[in-house]
Amino acid sequence: MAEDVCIFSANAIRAKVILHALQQGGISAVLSANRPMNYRLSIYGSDGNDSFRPTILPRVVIIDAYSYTHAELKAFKQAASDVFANMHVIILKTPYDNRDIDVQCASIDLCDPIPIDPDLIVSKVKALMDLRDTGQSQPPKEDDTLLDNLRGFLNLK
Amino acid sequence: MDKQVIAIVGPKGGVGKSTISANLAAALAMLNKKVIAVDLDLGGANLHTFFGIKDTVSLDDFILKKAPSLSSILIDTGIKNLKVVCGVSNIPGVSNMSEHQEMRLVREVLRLNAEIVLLDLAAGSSNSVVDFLFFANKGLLVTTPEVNSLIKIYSFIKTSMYKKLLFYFKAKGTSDLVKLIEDAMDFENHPQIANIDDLFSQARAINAGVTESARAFIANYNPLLVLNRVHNPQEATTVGNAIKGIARKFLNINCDVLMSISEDSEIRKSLAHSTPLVTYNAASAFSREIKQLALKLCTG
Repeated sequence: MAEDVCIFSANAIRAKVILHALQQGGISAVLSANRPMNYRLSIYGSDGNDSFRPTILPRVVIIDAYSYTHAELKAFKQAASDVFANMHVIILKTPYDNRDIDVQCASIDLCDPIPIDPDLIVSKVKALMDLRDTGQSQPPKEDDTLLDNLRGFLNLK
Repeated sequence: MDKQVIAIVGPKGGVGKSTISANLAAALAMLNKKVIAVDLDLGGANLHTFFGIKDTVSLDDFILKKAPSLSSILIDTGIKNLKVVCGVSNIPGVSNMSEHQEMRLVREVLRLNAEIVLLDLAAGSSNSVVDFLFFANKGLLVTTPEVNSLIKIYSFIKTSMYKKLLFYFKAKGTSDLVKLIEDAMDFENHPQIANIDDLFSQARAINAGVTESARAFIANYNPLLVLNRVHNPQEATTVGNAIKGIARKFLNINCDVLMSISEDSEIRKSLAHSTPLVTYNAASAFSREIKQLALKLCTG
């Protein structure tokens, strides 16, 4: 079964703090290989025919950009390609980190407290998981859903 | 000195109205405007906490006539060009001010020596909140993107619109139309006037001329929204379209989103330091957007 969250960090202590906080919050999480060049295989395992099949499909990905060097982050972005396309991504960085860390994904959320704030990360993950749960049970037309809700609650015919 | 009065309203509590007020006041002051922020959230004043002000004179002293004027209870915030009138904290029932007290306050606000007076109003849509909103040159309605906040925003806009019409009919001296609008605002006992079309249809039967001029008058009412704690641009677009669409369809007015402000974890830190975020971390997303809002208000 897929974990809810996959954490990418080159800093084992920070990674474990986040992992522990998520688990304490009732969220299943897994640490990836701690080097970005290896991460693709940590998500996709080879089936022996040179094609990839998903083995871990997290709902939310946490990328601890703070822990990566500039070169590592660049390699990470190149390797990521579209693997995160349907996932929500949370990027941990410093407020003054100007590096381009956009990746192709369903949504991206920046989290920049120093020192690391595990409670904030857990709350962001929970919010994203709620969002995703809602998205799975309803059609993805947010405009219509909000309008329908407003009209319904306001009794506007 | 030409004075601009800006009212900040948050129909639902907890949407970040005072956070926006404190930071917007600071951002305007940083644009070299002489600013006075007045905490008129009479039941739950907390604007002073954003500037670390403790144990000080407040509107209490003015209302109890211990202080002769608002100017005499101005407090320095430590930010250049920005002073604040702290809110009331200890007078029971003060949020239900009499009309006389309200007028005394309005007169005093107009006497304040500032280029911009920013009013941080109470949550909800009480008479005094709506009155102060109309008295201001510009009113900003603060909401979050959640549906429960948007419901309150819609109700506030509708209530304020009816109150504007009430003032209009009173000014025209049409007592029958005044009675009609008072009935319309009593939704429960007069369900036959449930929406604006019902209202204008019945008003036309009473006085067609004044009704048509009132319709033109109210069409110019253009509430300005500030969407706070937005998570992404798509969310801002979705919410903006929804509230604009509903206001256009059911109230026949334009309602625009003046600015979307991002959810920003830095807010918590600035609160812990009793400092507005625009001075605590000027580079944060929130600070940048508040400065844009300040620029829009100065230029627009």
